[in-house]
Amino acid sequence: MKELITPIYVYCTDFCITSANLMNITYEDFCALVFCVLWPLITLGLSLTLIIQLRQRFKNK
Amino acid sequence: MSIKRLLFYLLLLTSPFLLMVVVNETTKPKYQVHDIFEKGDVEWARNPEYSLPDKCTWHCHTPGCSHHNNNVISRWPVDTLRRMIIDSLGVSNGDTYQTNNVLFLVILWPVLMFGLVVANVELFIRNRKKNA
Repeated sequence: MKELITPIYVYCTDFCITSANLMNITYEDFCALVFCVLWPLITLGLSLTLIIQLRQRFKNK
Repeated sequence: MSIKRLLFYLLLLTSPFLLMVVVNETTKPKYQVHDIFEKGDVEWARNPEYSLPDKCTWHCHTPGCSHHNNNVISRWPVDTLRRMIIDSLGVSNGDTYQTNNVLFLVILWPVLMFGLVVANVELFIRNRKKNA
């Protein structure tokens, strides 16, 4: 399992480091932007719109 | 479900991974990293292990970012949240941390977001049809 996980982990971390350098921000900033700001906001936004849509659907029944 | 919509979902699911491949494949893996592995294993990477003054490297990943004074986003409370996520993934054990990282941040969380997008789009279409 480790033989499979480690190359994926290195590949993904390399992507984060390279992207941070391309965006001219630090690696920590890139990780914070993706995992602490963007993804939680997207997940929260999508969950809220789903709840609103479900409420509308059941209200109209 | 139409082929067009299926292709849209497929593109949505694969585009982040395609972006990662595009960004990574512009450079060849030419550096060896070993500091992140406990049993002395060596892996080929695209960024060097040593610290550089003007850009981030694997040095920023393993012992901590030497450019953290330039952080704009990763400041309190976002930095606290980032550290909490790292700690919750079991950073003290290298192998567990890597596995948890790949499992949660590469597979589960993106799949959750994809599922939410699909559910939203499908429900929106059904509601629109119902109201028409």
